[in-house]
Amino acid sequence: MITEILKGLSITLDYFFKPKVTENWPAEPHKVSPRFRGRHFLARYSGGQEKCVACYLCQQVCPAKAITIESEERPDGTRYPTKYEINMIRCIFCGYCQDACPEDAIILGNTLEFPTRTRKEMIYSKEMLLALAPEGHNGKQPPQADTHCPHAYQKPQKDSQVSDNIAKQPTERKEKK
Amino acid sequence: MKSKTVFSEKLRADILQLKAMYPIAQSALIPALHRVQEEKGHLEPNSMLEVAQLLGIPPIEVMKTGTFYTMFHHKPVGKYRVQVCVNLTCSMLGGRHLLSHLEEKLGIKDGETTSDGLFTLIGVQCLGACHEAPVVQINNDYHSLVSEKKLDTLLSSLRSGAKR
Amino acid sequence: MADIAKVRLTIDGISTEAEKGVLLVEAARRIGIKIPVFCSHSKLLPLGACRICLVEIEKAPKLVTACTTPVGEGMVVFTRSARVVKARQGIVEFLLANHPLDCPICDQGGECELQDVCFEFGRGKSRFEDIKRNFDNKYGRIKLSPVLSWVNNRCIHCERCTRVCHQVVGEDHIGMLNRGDKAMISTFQFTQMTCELCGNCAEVCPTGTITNGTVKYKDRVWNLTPNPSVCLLCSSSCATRVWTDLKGKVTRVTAPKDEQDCCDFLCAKGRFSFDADQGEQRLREGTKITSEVAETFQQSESLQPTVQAFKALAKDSGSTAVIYNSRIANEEAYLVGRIARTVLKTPHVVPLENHEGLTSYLDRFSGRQSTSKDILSADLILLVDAPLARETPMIGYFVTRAVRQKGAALYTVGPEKTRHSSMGLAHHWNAPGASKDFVLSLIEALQSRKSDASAEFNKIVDAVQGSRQMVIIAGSRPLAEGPAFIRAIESLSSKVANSKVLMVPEGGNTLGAMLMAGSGMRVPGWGSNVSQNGCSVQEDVLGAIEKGSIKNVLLIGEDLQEGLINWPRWKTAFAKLANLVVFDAFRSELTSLATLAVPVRSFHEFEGSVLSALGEWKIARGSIPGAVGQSMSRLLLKLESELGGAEQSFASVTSEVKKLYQWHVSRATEAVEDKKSADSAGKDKSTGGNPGKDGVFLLIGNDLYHSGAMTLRGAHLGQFLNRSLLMNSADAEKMKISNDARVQLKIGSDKVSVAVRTTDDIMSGCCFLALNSLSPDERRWFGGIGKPLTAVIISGGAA
Repeated sequence: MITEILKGLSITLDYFFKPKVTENWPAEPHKVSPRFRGRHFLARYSGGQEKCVACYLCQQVCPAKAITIESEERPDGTRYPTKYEINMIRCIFCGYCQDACPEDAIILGNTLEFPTRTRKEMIYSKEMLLALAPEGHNGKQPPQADTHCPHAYQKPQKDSQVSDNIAKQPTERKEKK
Repeated sequence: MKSKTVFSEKLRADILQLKAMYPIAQSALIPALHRVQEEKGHLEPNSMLEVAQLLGIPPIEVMKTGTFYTMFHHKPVGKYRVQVCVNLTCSMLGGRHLLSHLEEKLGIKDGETTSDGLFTLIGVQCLGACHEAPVVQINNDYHSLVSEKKLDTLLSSLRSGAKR
Repeated sequence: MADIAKVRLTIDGISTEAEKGVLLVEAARRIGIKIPVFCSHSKLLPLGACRICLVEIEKAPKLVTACTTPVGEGMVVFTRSARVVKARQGIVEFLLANHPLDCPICDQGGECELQDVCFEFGRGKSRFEDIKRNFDNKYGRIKLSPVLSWVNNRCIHCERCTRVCHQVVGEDHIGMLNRGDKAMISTFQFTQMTCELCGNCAEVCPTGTITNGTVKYKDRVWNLTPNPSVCLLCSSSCATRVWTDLKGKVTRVTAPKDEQDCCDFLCAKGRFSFDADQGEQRLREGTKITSEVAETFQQSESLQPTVQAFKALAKDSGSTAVIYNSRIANEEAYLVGRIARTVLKTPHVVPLENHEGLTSYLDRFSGRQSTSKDILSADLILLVDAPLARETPMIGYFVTRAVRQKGAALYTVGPEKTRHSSMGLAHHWNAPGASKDFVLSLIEALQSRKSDASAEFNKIVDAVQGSRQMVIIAGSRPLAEGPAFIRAIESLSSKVANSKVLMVPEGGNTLGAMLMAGSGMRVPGWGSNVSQNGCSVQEDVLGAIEKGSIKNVLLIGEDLQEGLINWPRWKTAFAKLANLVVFDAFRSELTSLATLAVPVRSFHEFEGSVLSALGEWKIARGSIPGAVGQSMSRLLLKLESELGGAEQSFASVTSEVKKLYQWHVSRATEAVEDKKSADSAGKDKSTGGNPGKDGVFLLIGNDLYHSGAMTLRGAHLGQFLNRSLLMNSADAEKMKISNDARVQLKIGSDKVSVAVRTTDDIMSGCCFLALNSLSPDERRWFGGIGKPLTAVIISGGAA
């Protein structure tokens, strides 16, 4: 009987001296996994042009219907979104939008905490999302925290492929089912 | 709307005569375009428009036909149109080499005209003389079993002939 | 038709039967087997250009194209055999070799036939590694028209667009230039499109090469909802699909895809004037004037003010004139007619677009007029002063198809050469207003040839004598000649075996509205207790207001001010009225004068049935989200019950309307059987045909892109508005007027300054001016579409 108690206490004692696994959050920042899907941002090409072509695929695939897009034609004949909004309250951070994006324009970053005082502030406009792109992010490299994660980016593009949209070769389609 | 005529009386009469030869006016289109090219050297938009008016067919029909055949030119061409066959048989027997040789020699690219207005170089598809490939057609004359050397003498003789 | 021989064949092991001459694609479709197609289209002649429809036929050495092969007795066809599957994959691979992968930005993406076929029948992987053909910017993305967007890189060379332009529209405006992989679709010399801009090339394009430019890059197809509707802009009354986006805003209009004859195509106004009712000028709130103060109210609250207004109107029975225009549904016209007779007790129920011949046309030809099938199967078509491309483009498409696809002979008659004249065998110049004379002399010539007739006239006589099945189509100008013309054409039709007649009024539901409102004709039931001696045309009403016998006016329809001829006179007359009640979809001077203005639904939002000129019964459900308020018929029904009538459901009105139409049809048939007195056609020559010595006949009509003021209200087609006077070039030479010169046109005491365009396509002594290119003030001297006016041209144009 006593031996059993001692055995149990020894385990307790064992854990008592081991390093703690609980984090002192929010006093200390939470370390997110490299594959963590946090707040989105909209990427730009290295030339500064935004990557989004307003194809509406993210809006279509979004299970929470969190994305609103309105699009127009630029004077040079290219397509761009006049409005790109993500309602972060509706968003479930499933990452489907990133998966659907043919231009790698919408990317889920690693920001976990972005609380606001009003609901209105949780609706992110296109300008806000573009501004959220990490410093030095040119759309070719994954964001800093994701560097060791092979899955964060599925299709790293070659330089030559980036600008040549029209004559682009068909990329491999994923088999449906 | 009527546009100003760009054809001579003779040319207009010829086209109308061609039109009368066929039961359907459109059949006279290719002969008419040949006739226009004979006189004008190439087909300009106004010429095509006038052919359409004379034959009573839509202008787009004329442009369709005119752009389909490589024998019709839409830019001014040189005195000699050097047409090098680059189709399969000729290519295998050196047609493409002849073309690049000519490009080098005349200093122009495929489809261009020399600055003196003498030669226009055109790489064309089969000329229908595979048995004596490689074939070069200069204006309406066939030159068969052409080699680079033979081509050089041909060109210089044409050049001197033009000077005379 | 019933004795067409049938053949038996087997497709993929399913035994089936099809009529001789049916193509394999169609036979397979009927039993639910899908054969992919690009170049093949049910309304176009077979071509066999794209090869995607290859199928295997037993004992045939090679694969054959199903879209060009007719069914044969005992044929055994395989559409899914290994050979076929492999061939199709190869074709798809070749088609995609030069097709850019820009689906994410392509407006066709989501409804693209190429996408669908590639997913279903393609390899799924590309082996193509070379650089794709890429036209440089000059040709790759040519800006040929503001309403159509062209990206030639996406073209797969099926030639549907060029064929639709030739075989259906008859414009021959676009064509395939160059050859091989350099082939591209363009206009002559890549110039801006000057065709009628129907957009049917974009409609049939299986890829995103030609797309609707008005919605370019604005939305994606999967966000749009198609709502079936009917277009009321001309009397073709085409079925349409009105597409609304997620917010319920109308973004585009397309033709329904169907096997029926009337589907798959639309004209410019049907397709591109959808934005007309989205703008600032739309009447969205009602106004009522009570003791000099104007109050506004919401559409949903319009019942109470309307009831009050109608009570005021009903107090003084017989003093109210009810005027409607053709852009209302049958149900609405029926209810308006009934309320006028039973509640307002007035005989004055007057249509705005009045052709004096219409009543007698409806009396004689209801249900007997030529249908689309008749036109398509005719071997002779005679267009009597019918500018179809301008007035009713869809009927024009039927005529073009009959000529270009079925080889019908076409003859045109009239003061204008139209697009159809160029594909016809001969054009007979005939003065405006003298169509009756032409018909009468044709009847005479059928019995005994006249020696002094022109060669063209004799050709027409020969053709009529030799015809097996003739269709005579007359436009709105002959209709304006009145009942005498109808009698003449009836007499002609009775003398030629197997002939059909079609009259084409210009306005939307002209025929249906006139029949249902019962203007100028006998109506069973509620119409009988009111005197028949009411006003019949708008001029009568105007006179009666000025005399003081009419004290109230009720105007119902859409775009009403445009239909009131001589607006300044109407304006002063309206000031005399006690009550002016207007039901309109648009804001105008008229609605601001009204004591009560009620907003109603517009030409594609409305609910109810429509009778097209071809005698088809079209139904609009009024289901477009974002439509203004409730439909007018439901409002009128509630109004009727509030005013003491029995409550009735909308469905029962629909069935009553249908019954009423049947009654009219049977009456017209009886009338024909009763009276074999067709010979009583007036032999007196009409007054037209001889313009004054120094005057010209002014033909007026609406330019193709317009319908009333629709185009002025819409942004897309308004930019093509062409205000010029079409003039015979010989006349112009005689008067020393050059092309593009400005002249003054004097009509009565009014003058209008216009630019001249000389043409050979108009008869000497005549001019054409598009009515809708003029402002309402300039328009006041026109006597309505159809009636030729005499005008004097003063050259020099110095104002």
